[in-house]
Amino acid sequence: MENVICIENLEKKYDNFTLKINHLEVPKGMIMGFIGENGAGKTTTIKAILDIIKNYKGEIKLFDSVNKEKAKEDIGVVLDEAFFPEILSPKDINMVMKSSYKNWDQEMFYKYLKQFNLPEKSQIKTFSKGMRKKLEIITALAHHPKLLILDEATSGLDPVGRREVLDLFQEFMQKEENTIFLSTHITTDLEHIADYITFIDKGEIIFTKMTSELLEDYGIVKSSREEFKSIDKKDIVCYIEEKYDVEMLVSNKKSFKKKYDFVSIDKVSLEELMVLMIKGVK
Amino acid sequence: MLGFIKKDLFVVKGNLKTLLMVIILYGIMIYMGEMDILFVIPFFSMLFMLTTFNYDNYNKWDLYAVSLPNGRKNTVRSKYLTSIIGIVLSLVVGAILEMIIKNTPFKEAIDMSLAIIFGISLVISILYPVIFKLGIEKARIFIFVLAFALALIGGLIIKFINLDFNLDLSFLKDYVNYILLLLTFIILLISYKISSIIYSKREM
Repeated sequence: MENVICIENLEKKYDNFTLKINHLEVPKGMIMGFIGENGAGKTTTIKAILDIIKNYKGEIKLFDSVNKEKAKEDIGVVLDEAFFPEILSPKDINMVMKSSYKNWDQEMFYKYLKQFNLPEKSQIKTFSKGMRKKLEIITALAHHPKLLILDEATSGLDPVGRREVLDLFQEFMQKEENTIFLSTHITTDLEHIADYITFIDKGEIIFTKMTSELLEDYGIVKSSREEFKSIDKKDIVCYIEEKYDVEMLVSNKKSFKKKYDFVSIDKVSLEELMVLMIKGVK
Repeated sequence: MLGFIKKDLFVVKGNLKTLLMVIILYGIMIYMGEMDILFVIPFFSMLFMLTTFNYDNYNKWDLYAVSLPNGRKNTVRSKYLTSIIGIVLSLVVGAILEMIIKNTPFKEAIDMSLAIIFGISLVISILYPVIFKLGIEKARIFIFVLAFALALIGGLIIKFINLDFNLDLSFLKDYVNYILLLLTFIILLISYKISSIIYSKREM
């Protein structure tokens, strides 16, 4: 499978944090959700991909090339809290982007502005948080990119707005060659649209798995402390001990149920999985 | 790069009300003879360029700009070019007003304009690499130090030339405009190169 992002042995050191990604690849034509708690290294990874940070070890290839400047023509970006000066209007943004991207599609931009009820002549500073986010997203889409890199693109949107934006992403993905790399706290969005999930914690990738497999195979087991004692720790990914019971994350629901038929296993959501893996004892 | 120049012009346009108020205020002072037209207009043009750095910083435009094609290169280039265009245009306007209001002869207005272009370019040439290195927030203190240092050095130079050495620079008189233009070009070019190197390595 062809990859649009390929990271090998990336290492970036800060005083109190180190990002260390041995291997990460984002396959072409897929949506990859990038999850992890605040400060886990999601934004730093995205910044390294886009060359916003420098002086790191390792190699990052975009569209199979190390020439990132060339690749940027085909990338649409939404960054967390970084955009045009708020004194500009969408109309101004159109003028700027027309001169910045070879494939800028003015008609598409204005069509989206209309679709999302964004006034073209008002300054961004008069927009609500949700309106700003929508503007950032349609600005990222209007030069027909092949890859969308989105950092917290759905935060600040109400449920209706989020749905509209997710529909937009799905419309974008109708073109087979298009790819999305999406970091977010709102993991429920990913359950609906992501093909793959990459989980990062303390600067290191814990896993990359297909979303369907993850949601089907993984499960949450709740048992009493007594029952917990009879369970082999090798059969669980991690656990959290509470006052009266124990919550466990298992990676293969079926085989676990076969072995321990006295417990009940529930489906796990990405949010639960993330919390258990961060807070749980391994 | 054109896109980034447009972005800065839109920021200035967004501040049109402030700009008009400044023009009216200083127009009155110029009319009353309290201010020098030739100096004031390009000086404010420079201040408005510094304002664009503030807006960029406030909305983290730099980060976003770097994610666009040739973002780092275009950020530096566009700031220098917009500044040069702004200063030259404002000097043309200033020179015309100077000739109309004060009846200053054309040659004299040109001589004065070139000296001001050199002065403001010198300030930009020192300031911009510092801004590109530290960001506008941290560079702010440097701006005050620079303004003070330049005033002090300028004063000392004048004092030395007039009093201590009594240098006769009249032989340069015919070439002074060309020398100033050449110096302006050289210092801006050196400054641009330094800024480009600094910004190509800067962590955001």
